[in-house]
Formats: sequence, C-alpha cells, structure tokens
Amino acid sequence: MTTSLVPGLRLAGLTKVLGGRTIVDDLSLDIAQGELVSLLGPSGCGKTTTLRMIAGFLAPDSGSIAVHGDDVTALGPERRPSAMVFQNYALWPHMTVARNVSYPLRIARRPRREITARVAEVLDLVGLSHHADSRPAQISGGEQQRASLARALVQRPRLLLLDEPLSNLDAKLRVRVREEIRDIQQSLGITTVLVTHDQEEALAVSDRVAVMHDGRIEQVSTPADLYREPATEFVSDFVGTSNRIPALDLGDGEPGAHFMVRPEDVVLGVDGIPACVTRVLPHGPFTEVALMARGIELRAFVSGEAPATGDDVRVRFARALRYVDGILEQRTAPRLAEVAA
Amino acid sequence: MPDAARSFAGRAVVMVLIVLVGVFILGPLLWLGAHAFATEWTYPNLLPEGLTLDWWRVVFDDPALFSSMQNSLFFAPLTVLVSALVCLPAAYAFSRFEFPGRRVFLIGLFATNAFPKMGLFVAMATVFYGLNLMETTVGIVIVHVIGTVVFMTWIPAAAFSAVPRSLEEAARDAGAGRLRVFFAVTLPMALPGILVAAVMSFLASFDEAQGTYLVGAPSYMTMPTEMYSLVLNHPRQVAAVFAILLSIPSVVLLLLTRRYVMGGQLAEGFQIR
Repeated sequence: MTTSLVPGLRLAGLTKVLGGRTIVDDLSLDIAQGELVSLLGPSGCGKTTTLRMIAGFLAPDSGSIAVHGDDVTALGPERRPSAMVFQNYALWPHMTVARNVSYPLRIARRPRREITARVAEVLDLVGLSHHADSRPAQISGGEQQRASLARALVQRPRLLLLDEPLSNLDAKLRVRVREEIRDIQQSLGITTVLVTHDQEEALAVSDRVAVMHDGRIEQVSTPADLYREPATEFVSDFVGTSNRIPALDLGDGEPGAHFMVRPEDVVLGVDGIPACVTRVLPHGPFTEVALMARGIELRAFVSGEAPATGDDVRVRFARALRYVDGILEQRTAPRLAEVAA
Repeated sequence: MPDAARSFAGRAVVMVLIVLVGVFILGPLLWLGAHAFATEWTYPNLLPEGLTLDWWRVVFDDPALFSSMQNSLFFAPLTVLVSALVCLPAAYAFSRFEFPGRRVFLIGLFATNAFPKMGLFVAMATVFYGLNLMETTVGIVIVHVIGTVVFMTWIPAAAFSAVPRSLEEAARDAGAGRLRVFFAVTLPMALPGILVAAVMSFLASFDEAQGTYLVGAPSYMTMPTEMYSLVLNHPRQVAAVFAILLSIPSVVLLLLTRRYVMGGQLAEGFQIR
C-alpha cells in the first residue's frame, strides 16, 4: 500500500500575516493517515489561525496544504475534504439535530435513502438518536457537542478538524467526551487535528502533540516524549511545570545554560544539599512542597509522607535536562551538593 | 402583618396604574369606536343617542375615499418591496463588510431623520418638478421609501450581525457555496429582524401624509392625506370610521408579527454600534 505513505495532512511553509503581525511563521508539519495530532499552545500562538487555514476559512500568505496528497491550498472550505467541529458547536438553531446533521449530505445531493441511513448511523455512533428531532436549544452543551461532531462525521471527511471542542464543557464531562472523541476517531481511523490550549487534554488524546509558540512549532512529539524530553525551555515550562535552575548555581559556568527539573524529580532525602521547606500544598494523590535551597526556589512533588513547613531537608535531582539558550542539550543527573561543593 | 399590608398597598398602587394606563390607551379607541356607530354623541350625554351604520356607508360610497384606500394599499406594499430591494443589500454590507465611511453612512442614514420633514419635502418638490416626478407613482414611492430607509437598514443590519459567523462557516465547511449559505443560514436567522423592519416600513408608508400630499395631491390621495379634508368636510363620525379603517392594517400586522416584535428584535435593532 503506497497510500499509507502519503501523509493525511501535509503543511509546508505555511505563513500568515494579519494586521502587520506574523501569526503563523513558516510552519511545516506532516500528519500520518489516521493519526490524531494536537496543536497545543497559549492563546495567540497561531494554532487557531493554522486550523482556519487548514479548513479553508483563511488563505495562507505562502505555503501549501495537502490532504492525502491532494493540494487543497486554492480551494474554498466547501470544496475541501475536511470537516470541522467548532468551539461553539455552530449548530443552526432553526434546524433540528437531524436536519443539522443531514445538511452536508443534502448539499451534496445524496439520495434520500442514503441520507436517512447515514444520519441514523452517525447519530447512533455519537449516542444522539433520541434527540434527532430536537432543536439545538433544547439539548445540553455536551449533546450539542456530539451533534456537531455527528455533522462533521456524516461527511466521512478525510480530515477532521476540532477547534477547542471541549472548552465549553464542565470538567467531568470534558474528560468523558474527550475519551469518546478519541474512541470514535480511532475506530474510524480519521486523520485528525485538535486545537487546544489545555495540555492535559492534548496529552491524553493525541498520538502526537505539536507545541506552538509565536507562530512556530517548538516541538512535535508523542505525549510521553514531550513530557520527558521537552526540546525547549518553553515546552518544558508550558507542558507540565519545571524548576528552572541557572547552571551557574550548580557550578556550571557556561553562559545561558539552565537546568530544567520536573517537580517529581526533586527528591527529598538524607543526602544532597540542605534546603528549607517554605510551603506545603496537599493535592490529594501527591503533595506539592516549596523549598528554598541556597537562594533557589524549588518545587517538589512528594507522593509519600510530606515534610512540614520549616523543616530542614536535603534534596537531590533524580533527573535534570540541560538547556543552552533555551534549547535542550544533554541529559544529566547532577547532584546539587556534589556540584556545588 | 405589616408586610402583608405593604404588599396589599403595593398591589393596589399597581392596579390603579394599570387602570390609568388602560384608560389612557383604550379610552380614545373606545371613543372612536362609539362615534363610528353613533347617530349623535355630544358632550353632556353619557351614551350615544342611537346606533347606525350610515357613517360606514358614507365612507364606502364616497369614490374619493374608496380610491384613497386602494392607493394606500397599493403604495404601502410597493414601498416595502422597493425599500427591501434597496436597503437589505446595504444592511448586509453594513453588517458584514468593513469599508471606508461605513460609520459615516450608517450614522448619516439616522441623521437625515433629525431634520424637520416638511423642509426636506419642500426642497425635494423643487427637484421633483425638474424631473417631472410630481404627481407620479414613482415620486410617491420615492418619498415613502425615504421614510423607511432607517428601519430597513438599521434593524436588518443588526439582525445580520447577530448571526454568528461560525454558523456561516459551518455551512461552508459542510459544502455550501457563499450564496447558498446566505439563503440557508444567514437569511432565515435574520428573518425575524427583517420582518420587523418590513412591518415598521409598511406602517410608516401607510401613515405617511405630508410628503404624499405635497408630491401626490390631488391626483394621488392616500388614506392619511384624505384624513385632512375629511376632518374638515364631514361630520366627525365619518372621521371616526375612517380612523378605524386606517388603524386596521397596523393592528393586524402587529398581531401577526407579535412574536417577533415583542421578542426584543426592535430594541436590538436600534443598538448603535
């Protein structure tokens, strides 16, 4: 099969300038067929603009977009093989759920029997069969979300675009719906782009996550790699939290060098450098401990018995990543006491 | 106990206010209604002396009055149609496109209503004489349409703006072209606002008297223009009958579109943005 070698989505040198500001800056990304890739980043990083260019609502200033090998850069959104789920669901209030879902098929002038069958099938898939004749205003936010997903899936798109699809749902529902979306996406094998600012969401559902910053992709990795080996200080700080320690404080004289240490890699024990506990914040499954060691503020996640505020302890780092000028350089596990001694 | 007393007093005040407002609104209508069927009803008498349908006969038998009704029912729908054709595209443009002078045009439409109409009509009459538009259908329609421009642009513009762009984008994403999106999503969603604008325009045209009189009289007399001479030349019972006839379309239209007019569309339409 040669088709599987063709990427489901290929973005090449995508650039967009809006109001004199470069929103998306020479962005390139390949997404394999059937893969779910998240665009993750803070607001204003260009992720939504990128998605809107993929959908066809915005024309890129330069660069190209190809879906399954077909260049779609010049096509309007109505002619692209992609379907989008909007942040606010964008259901048409004057149509029932079934009418909303059938709309793409009616536009495509599919035979009536096929429309009925496909709408029933997709409503069943998202669990909305009993609301087929309801109006969007009569169903809950989560159900509107599913209706919107159904309207996208009924088109059997080659590319599914999800624009912050969960941000309007409450926390519990969000977790459930994101698992459902992931299940459906995997069972149908649709190439999917998910835009989100929620790192937990991105890590939980994606095959790979692309972290965006200032219109560029900082790193594309599997969720595990992204967390364990952030390519830049920005990623390390944005995905999860990290202690940023100037290398100088560890006896490493190179200018611009920093160590990034995950809070769970800060180990409290009997050896290492002396530190003072300044604050203890229980989180339930673990306890967050704020420390002061030789003038450096540190945060540690402790899963067992936690010290009390004011205790004197010793810390060492189980794992630290070294960055020079913000870029990952090498992995080390310095013991602060040794280096500083 | 004091609470109960206070709430009773409060309710009593509210009731009195309701009655007062009711009298204020319904009183004149009752007066009109009674006059339209009364043989004679003058000051000291509490009730009309007798009941008759004669005054209605007078109105319907008078060819001038009857043709004025026909004229009114001809000009009002025509005005709405022409106004819609001219103004709705403008409303859409105001709502969806940024162009230089957008605000100036938008405020300008409103500002034209700030000047006394009569002065405007006199100036227009001069132009109309030059263009041979005096006493023509076209001339009257122009005068009427001018009176509806504000309704027909501002309210639909607000209605178009109230349609979220993502709903239009969703339709394009689903495969609809621009025109199709307009007719499948934008127009149906803006329709209540457009309907309100159409009703307001119909009523504005139906009630327009000054300009119609200046441009149309004596060839084209509408109901409001006939009203002037009617009040002077006929017993007041005839005027009452005619006033009732004049108000029928307003009442019917408002009842038909009550749902939309009450729904806050009007208030939304006049939000200045």
